[in-house]
Amino acid sequence: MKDNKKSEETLLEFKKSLFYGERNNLFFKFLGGDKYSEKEFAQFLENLLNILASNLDANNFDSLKEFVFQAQIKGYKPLEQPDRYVYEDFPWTKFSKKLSESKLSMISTGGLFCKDDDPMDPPGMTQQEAIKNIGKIFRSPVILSSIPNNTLRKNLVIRQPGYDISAALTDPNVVFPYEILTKLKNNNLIKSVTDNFYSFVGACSQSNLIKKAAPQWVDIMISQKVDGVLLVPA
Amino acid sequence: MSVGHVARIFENKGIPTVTLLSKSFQHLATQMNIPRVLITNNYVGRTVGLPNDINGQTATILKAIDLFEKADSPNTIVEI
Repeated sequence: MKDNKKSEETLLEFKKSLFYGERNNLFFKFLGGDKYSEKEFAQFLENLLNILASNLDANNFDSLKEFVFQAQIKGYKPLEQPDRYVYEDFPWTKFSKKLSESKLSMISTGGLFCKDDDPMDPPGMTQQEAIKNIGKIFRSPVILSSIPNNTLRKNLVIRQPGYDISAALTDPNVVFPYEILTKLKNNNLIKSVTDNFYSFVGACSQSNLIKKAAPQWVDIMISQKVDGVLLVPA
Repeated sequence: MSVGHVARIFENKGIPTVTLLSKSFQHLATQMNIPRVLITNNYVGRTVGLPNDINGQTATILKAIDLFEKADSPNTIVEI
């Protein structure tokens, strides 16, 4: 509940609070960033209410879903041409087998790990604590968690301060499709999968990822004679 | 961005990759010249699909891994 001081909050303050502020909302954090001006934010709210009312009347929420989807696209689109991590070369390795003869692995940036294998030191940080300490997370080593492909959902933990994990808590396959890949293997569409699938926190130092972590992960894949790796961001 | 870097490093070391991207991050596919990309019409944080939508998730993953066989040139980008 808001106190008197809060009742004087401006729209701009409210908007900004959605982005790692008092009202942090990782699904709608894009509204709090610089991709939406205060005026555009007000327009978003006005349109949201109008669409919500009409969808309630129609008992059909398709246009609401599309509205939010398009708003999210705008919220992540760069305002200017980026000057970092723009590449001119085209890395490429030919995939030379059929899928039915291939061994696949999977890496997700969703920040999943097994209950007894917390990559943080000390272990036990909660999602809310990670959000409050996102700067510390960015400065931490980038650690790849190994997750046996037969892990029960109840033994999975998800902690990643860069995205809204609520859907992944309901069903980890939305960012870590390990049950889907295992099903495809069991249906012989893929010859095999690695005993473990993998995850790390995608909200990380890109420099550490490029220079230290990812080159080591190459060896993990080569040692398992992997034919291809599916990469799934959150 | 993290998956783009992993994809680039893996491919340069001889490991083929397919990268999923929510449409909100589509710009990264060309910015980083990610080798094989499937753009999904899903929200951020639900890249593969909605929770418990096994059919939808399976369809997305089938389209993604299909790119291993079908893509024949770098920076192949397919939109669902």
